[in-house]
Amino acid sequence: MKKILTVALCALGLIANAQESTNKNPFRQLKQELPTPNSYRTAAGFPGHEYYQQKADYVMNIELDDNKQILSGEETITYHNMSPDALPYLWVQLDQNMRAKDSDTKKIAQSSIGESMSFDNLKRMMNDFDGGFKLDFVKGIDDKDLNYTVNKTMMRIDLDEPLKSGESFSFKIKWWYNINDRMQIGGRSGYEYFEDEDNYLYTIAQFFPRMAVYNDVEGWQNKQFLGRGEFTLPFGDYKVSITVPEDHTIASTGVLQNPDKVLTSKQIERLEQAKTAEQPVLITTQAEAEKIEKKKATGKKTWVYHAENVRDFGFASSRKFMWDAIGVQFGERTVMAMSYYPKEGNPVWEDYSTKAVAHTLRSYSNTTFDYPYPVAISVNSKSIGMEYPMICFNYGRPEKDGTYTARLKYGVISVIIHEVGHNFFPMIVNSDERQWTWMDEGLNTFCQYLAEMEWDVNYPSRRGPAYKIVDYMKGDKSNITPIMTNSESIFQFGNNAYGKPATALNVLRETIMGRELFDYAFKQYAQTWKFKHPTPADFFRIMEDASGTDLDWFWRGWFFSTDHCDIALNDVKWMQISDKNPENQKAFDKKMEDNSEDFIGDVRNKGNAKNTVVELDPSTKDFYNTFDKYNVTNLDKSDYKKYIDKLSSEEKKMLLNRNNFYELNFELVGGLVMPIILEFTFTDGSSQKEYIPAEIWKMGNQTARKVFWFEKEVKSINLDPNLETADVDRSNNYWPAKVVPSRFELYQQKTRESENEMQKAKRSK
Amino acid sequence: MSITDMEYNPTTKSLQISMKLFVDDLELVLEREREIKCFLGTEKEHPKSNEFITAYVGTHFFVEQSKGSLPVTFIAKEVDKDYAWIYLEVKNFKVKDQTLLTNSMLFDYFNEQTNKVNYTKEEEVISFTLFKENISKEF
Repeated sequence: MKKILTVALCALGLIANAQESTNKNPFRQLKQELPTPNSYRTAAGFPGHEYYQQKADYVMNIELDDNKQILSGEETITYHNMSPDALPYLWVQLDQNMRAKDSDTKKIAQSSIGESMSFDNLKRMMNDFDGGFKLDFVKGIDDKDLNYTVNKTMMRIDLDEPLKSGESFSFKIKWWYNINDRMQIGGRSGYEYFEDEDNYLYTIAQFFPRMAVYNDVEGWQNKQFLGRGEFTLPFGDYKVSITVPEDHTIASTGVLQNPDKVLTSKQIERLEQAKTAEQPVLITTQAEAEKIEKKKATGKKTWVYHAENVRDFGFASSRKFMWDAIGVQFGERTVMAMSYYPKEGNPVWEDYSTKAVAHTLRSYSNTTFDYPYPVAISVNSKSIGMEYPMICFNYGRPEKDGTYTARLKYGVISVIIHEVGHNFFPMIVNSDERQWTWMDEGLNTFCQYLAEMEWDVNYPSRRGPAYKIVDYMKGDKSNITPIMTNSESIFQFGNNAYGKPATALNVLRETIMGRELFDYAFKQYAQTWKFKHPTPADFFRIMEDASGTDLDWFWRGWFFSTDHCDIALNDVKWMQISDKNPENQKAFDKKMEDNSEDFIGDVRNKGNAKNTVVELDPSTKDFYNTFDKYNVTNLDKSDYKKYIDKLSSEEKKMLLNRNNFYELNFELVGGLVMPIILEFTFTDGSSQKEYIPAEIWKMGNQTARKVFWFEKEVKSINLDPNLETADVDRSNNYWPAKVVPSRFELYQQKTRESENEMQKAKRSK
Repeated sequence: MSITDMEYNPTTKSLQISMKLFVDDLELVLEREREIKCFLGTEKEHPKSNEFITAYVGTHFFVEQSKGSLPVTFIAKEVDKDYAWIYLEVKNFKVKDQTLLTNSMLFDYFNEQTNKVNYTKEEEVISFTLFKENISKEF
């Protein structure tokens, strides 16, 4: 028994040793975390010489039943196998099945009943909505049934013969589904019901069986749609006919092919005007829309849309829509920025929506590439913000009395910038949302911040600046995960996938790389992967490759860990070079002694000086009683002259220069390595900034020392004075040390300074 | 996510608390509880909104020590852009005593709500996260 124990202990000892000798340096390269570069994706972060991507084209006839809230369709998919591989089967995504009665989304949703539960939550938990695709048939182009297997939100189509590289395969699917009430059970798409007037507003997406992505990194996408991890889709061309009640207006991905059949001549004329107008032009006015929504037409109309090189298709339909538009010029090309909204969206929507769309196109195009699609649409949709190619559904309804808060106004502008911005990430720079939410949400939130700052320098942006992420990053880490976490397993979606990556990019731009290097590299990434499928490694690599900057430490800290930044300025030593001149040196020494603290006994005994032996009996005094060690003697002077004469002129100059030297001691309290940014304020009131790159921590050191010298005397030092590193504890950032008041104390100070409510009331009388 | 920072003030012998939540979330909760829209931090703010907040805090935020539940006093509320700050104070707080803190703010309306608490006790910082299935923490 004893022997076994000894063996076991030895083995444990070995493991402990092995761990200790592993490289833990924060600057070690990401060789193990990132996939090995290959001919599909290069080490520079570019598509390799064998890079490929699949293509899926769709021809669809869709009908919306406004009486029963049913959507039905028949589609022909042509799948082009551009991969070098032969494919024995194809995978199709059936995202609507997430709302099927037996869906995994419902099964895995954790539920609990606390002391109280809201009706909304209860309704959602108990809903028995019969959602999901009902498949009428899956046939080949020759009308013969195809073998298929539905695996929850996905469907495998078995091919008689593998689809060879370079070949295409066409097949047909007929389907229908019950449209969900978004207000009752939620969802990115669905309908909103206006009870008082018995009208519906449909925002329709994920509405047809769509091809899954097959590529060099994932093979066929095999992650089911559970609700959070959004979409991963191949590019293709779409020809879509949508039949709706004849009094409905449709907003859709693509370009309308039959305006003569569905629009009035007045609307067509106004659209033409809008192309060159300086302010948005109403295509359907509020008065016109209100007239239409009061009645219900019985006939139908079919709207035909074509869209090229898009990864998805969405549309909205209602008899409630008013509609406005303005042209945005990109060289010779005019892109139509448009908005569709019910009267409930006004006044805010008419004033801001289309302007926000146009601004987003300009701002993002400047950051990335010219917006390549012909239209960009914002549709008013209660409570949500959701994006599709060329079209997005955005929240924002003012009060019934026509007033609205500043919060609502900026909320509307922000959500429109964000969702229109998604055209760039991930609709065009087509990252895999099912795997990595941050690749589109994080990059998009970063660009959104830039666009907001271009709207108004005082814009109340929610995410972007480093200091805004501090609350999320500091303290308890049990409820946070690294950014590099699969979309379905993220705690705190907003902070993790939107806020933190957007902040990280902002820190790179403002603090680590500088705007010039960052902007070039970021644009290079966007332009390189435009209409392609990038992965996280491609992004990390291209940002380094195009800027000549090793950022592995930054990706490791910000994207692969939950570490936070906390750098402490622990200690400051102030020194001046001794010039060896006894006149100065001895005076200085005397001053130092005079200034030093005295022992309490010495202080008290001084009062008794005249009663001491040496005072009462002067004969006890000798040379040592009167010797003043601070007196400058001739010997001191001649020694000094000898010393000076031996020095070179350069050395003499250094000796005589009265610089102040400061040795600063830093400690890396948090796990995140970051640059050290210092502001020295001098006794004359002036100040100076110093920047030390993060590589000061490159040895894996926890402390660092650095000497600075100035002619002036330093009064105070502030570490990270412009709040650019997300340092979570500011109380250890000052010399002399400063107590940072809590928010509570600040509030108390503020209220003490200002008048109280009674005083205010008196003054108003 | 909400953030609650708590610090013991030895001069007043009280626990000073500042709680930061999304103002829209707080407003929605008050609206559901009272069927009144509060317009927090705007000119139209409901005159009784502080009263409503106090009542809501009173049923969702508790500080207990050996002598039982300590009264949590509502000091004030501030609205700053997207966030509402609620200031609370617990008098006669015994800093050395075992404490049970409950913070179930917003859990009844938002399934994925988490409440992070950072408690500064002299030099030490105790930080933890509360969520729907785990609404209290002893320290």
